[in-house]
Amino acid sequence: MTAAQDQSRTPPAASDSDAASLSFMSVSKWYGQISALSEVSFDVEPGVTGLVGQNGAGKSTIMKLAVGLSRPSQGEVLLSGGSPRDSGVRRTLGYCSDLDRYYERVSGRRFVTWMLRLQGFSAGQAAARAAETLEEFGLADAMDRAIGGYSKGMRQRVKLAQALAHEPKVVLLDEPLTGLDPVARHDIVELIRGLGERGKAILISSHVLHELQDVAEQFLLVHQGRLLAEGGLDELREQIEDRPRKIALRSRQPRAVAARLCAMPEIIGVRFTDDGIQVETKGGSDLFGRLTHIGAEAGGLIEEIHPVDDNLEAVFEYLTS
Amino acid sequence: MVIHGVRYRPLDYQPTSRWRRGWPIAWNEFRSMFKMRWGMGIFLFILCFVPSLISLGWQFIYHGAYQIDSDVPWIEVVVGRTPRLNPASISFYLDPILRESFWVFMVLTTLVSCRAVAKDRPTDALEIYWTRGISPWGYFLAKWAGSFLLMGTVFIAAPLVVWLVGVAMASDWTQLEDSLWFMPRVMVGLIFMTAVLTYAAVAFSAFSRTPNRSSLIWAFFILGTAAAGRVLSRVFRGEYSWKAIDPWDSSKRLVEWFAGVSPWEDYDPTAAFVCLGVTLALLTIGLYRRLRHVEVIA
Amino acid sequence: MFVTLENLTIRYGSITAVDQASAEFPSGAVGLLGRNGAGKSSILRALLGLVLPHAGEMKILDFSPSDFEESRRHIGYMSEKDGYIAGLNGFEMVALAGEITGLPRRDAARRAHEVLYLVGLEEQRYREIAGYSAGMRQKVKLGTALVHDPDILFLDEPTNGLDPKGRKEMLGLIDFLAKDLGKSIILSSHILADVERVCHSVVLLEKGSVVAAGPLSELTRHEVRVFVVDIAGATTSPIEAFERHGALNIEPSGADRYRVTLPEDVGASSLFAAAVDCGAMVHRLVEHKRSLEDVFLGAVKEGIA
Repeated sequence: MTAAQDQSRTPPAASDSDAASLSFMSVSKWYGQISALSEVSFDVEPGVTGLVGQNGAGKSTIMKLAVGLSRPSQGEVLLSGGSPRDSGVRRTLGYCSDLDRYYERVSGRRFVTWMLRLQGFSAGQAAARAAETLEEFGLADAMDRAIGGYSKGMRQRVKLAQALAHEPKVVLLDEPLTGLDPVARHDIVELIRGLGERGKAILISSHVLHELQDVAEQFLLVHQGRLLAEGGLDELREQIEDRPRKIALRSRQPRAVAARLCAMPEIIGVRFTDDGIQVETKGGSDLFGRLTHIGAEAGGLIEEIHPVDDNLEAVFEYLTS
Repeated sequence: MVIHGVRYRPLDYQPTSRWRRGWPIAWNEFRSMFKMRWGMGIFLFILCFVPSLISLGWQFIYHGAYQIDSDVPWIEVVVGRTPRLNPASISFYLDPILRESFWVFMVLTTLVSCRAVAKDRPTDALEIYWTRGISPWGYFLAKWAGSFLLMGTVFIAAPLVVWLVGVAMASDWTQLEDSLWFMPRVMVGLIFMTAVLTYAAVAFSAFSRTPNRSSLIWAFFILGTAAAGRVLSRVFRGEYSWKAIDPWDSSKRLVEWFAGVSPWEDYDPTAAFVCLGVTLALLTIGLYRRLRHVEVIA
Repeated sequence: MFVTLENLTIRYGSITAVDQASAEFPSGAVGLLGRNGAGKSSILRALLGLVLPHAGEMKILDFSPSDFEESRRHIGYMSEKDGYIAGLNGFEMVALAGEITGLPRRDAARRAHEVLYLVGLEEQRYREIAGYSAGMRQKVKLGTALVHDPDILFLDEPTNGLDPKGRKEMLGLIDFLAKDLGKSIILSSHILADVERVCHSVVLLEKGSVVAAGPLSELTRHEVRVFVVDIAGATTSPIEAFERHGALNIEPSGADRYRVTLPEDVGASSLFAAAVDCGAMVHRLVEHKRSLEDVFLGAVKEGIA
């Protein structure tokens, strides 16, 4: 790319290099009487962040505000240091909506080229970038075929290609994995991870919590229009270390194990399951020391230990109950 | 106390016959007329009875006036001059339908019958119907039955009621004697006509993907053939057989022929028979393609 | 076996969707997995009588599938598509579904109410379906599948569009149907976690053929016994401790986590003993199994090669 060709692109709005890629500052949004978001503040840094919550919790509202499709009723949204309603700033944004609508008769290549031209690239540049991005996303053979003939996985990839072809710094993905079969999902998850490693700030919204666990390092949990929790999963789990949790033990002599454990004051519940017991504890880690000793005894009393609320879904459920 | 609980209970039942299974579909079709917004359907349906109501009203006047004051000759004059108002003539029963209810036919078929199958396509309801206990043809017959019931109340039940009321109100049995020789044929004719026209409309609805498109095409088809028939019969100087391309007209002609009435614009019923037969045959052949389970997948 | 397929071949014109597939579905909940276009939907359609197979045999319990109107009374089908009948509310639709299957009118109405309570649709049943949310639609669909008390259920993407709470409810229901009521279920889904939760076996299709089938416990087994151990507070080297207690191979994998391979005759207790040895506490000890996703990808990529 020569300097002359570079001129055809307006540089993104000047931003402080320390500023987070996407910032919400005390943002509230309501539609008439309906409150969609209530004083939400967070920063999205480079890397992959998952936005989780139930249907109606406020995820799509956050997306819409981040993209600039609507304005917050209160508070401010900053994208790369500027307002998302500014078209210069929007050039640093790549958006993949959850809708699955295209011009079905147009080829993938043409579609992405058009999208690039709308961003302000010249015809030659747009075509070159479109082809490059589509190849990177595995659509080298299919890019000249009409989109109507693509499989669901390919359609998602075209969407991603159009969101990324202009090398944005911030990428917003709204439910990118719905309807994909496991192989396609695996491929797209790999793609997204790669993008995160390249230093882009990616925000993925989904209501299928366990899918995001593989992709995202940081999470934003929204509930009832508010920010329920934010951070990495390990941090989140640690936070709830001191709160009641459940641990499943596999054992062939569950009653013997239960008898040993019941004497401890931290144990607030024991449930017998098909292959062992599930222990509920008030908190604290004395229990594990005890379990280790019981397990080391001859006779193999304990075969497996696994904390039941180890995953995002469990954390979320615990926090929203 | 005995605790029964509200857990899941297994079900034991006597499966109903094939024909019985389609009944709710037929009934839903009949009801769909009355479920339209703002009661429009109910309003239109009542309007459909206007020609029959006129006849019914006349029955009251005829029998009433005749009874009260036998010095009133004007009724006899009127009745003598206009077969349409003479309860002893076939026209009294057929004209309200054949001559005055073309628009009833248009309204009922366009709003209900020719949407019957088409409205199930966009909502994926075909899959629901066809993966249970009835076949696609059973489903079609049920839809047809529903439309038949709907149009039948106007075309068959109303004239029957008009006749029965007249016979009941008459002071002697002359009314009955005069009309008994033609009434069965009138009834058969009307049943035939209702069946054929609803079959055509419901069959039509199997070919479109959306109900609005179906209504549009049906309306164009009927009005178009009616207009074309008229124009062509003028062009060919009184060769009225051209009107047979319109299914309404040809079924009308056949009913008139069967009941023994001469229409104003007379033509050979064979033309009507052939045209109607061809239309129905073509539709049925088309249905064989459209009423296969594979349709659900498309 | 409630469903058996033998050399089943299904063609749509020149495209072969299912190619000589043979599989057995044992009673209980069985997962039917495969990519889009691998043939899962074709098999379900053939079992429902929507498509006629080109060759091969199918058996559903004791019925000949060709007598579809009879066999369908014993099958409950929950479609992936959000089909509904315009103008009806939830209750009317379930009752209609029952009547069309062969239930007498009153039985159908009574049963519709009972089933709607089971799936959790309360007063919303009197509202028109056109206005339902995703969760309510799934419930109505499940209701139409259960109204005639079939012994067999075909569930196609039952958790489509549901949020975590809805998914949990739906999976709980399916579990109840399979384990408590003893219904035989074929669950077709892309969400492998759902299949792992509910099904005891799977049949995996790729390009029209069966590439893997059998109980999940067998398919996810590793050839060697690998354990994942989380340790905290070790005062001496855990790796040495494991070695002393008979571990064949020790691989650190993340903070405080180790993947330890043990020989056949050594049990988990030695891992606990090793922890005690180095003054640590075990926070987690699980036998490492292949996830269903690994099985899926492995089987499918072989198919591609």
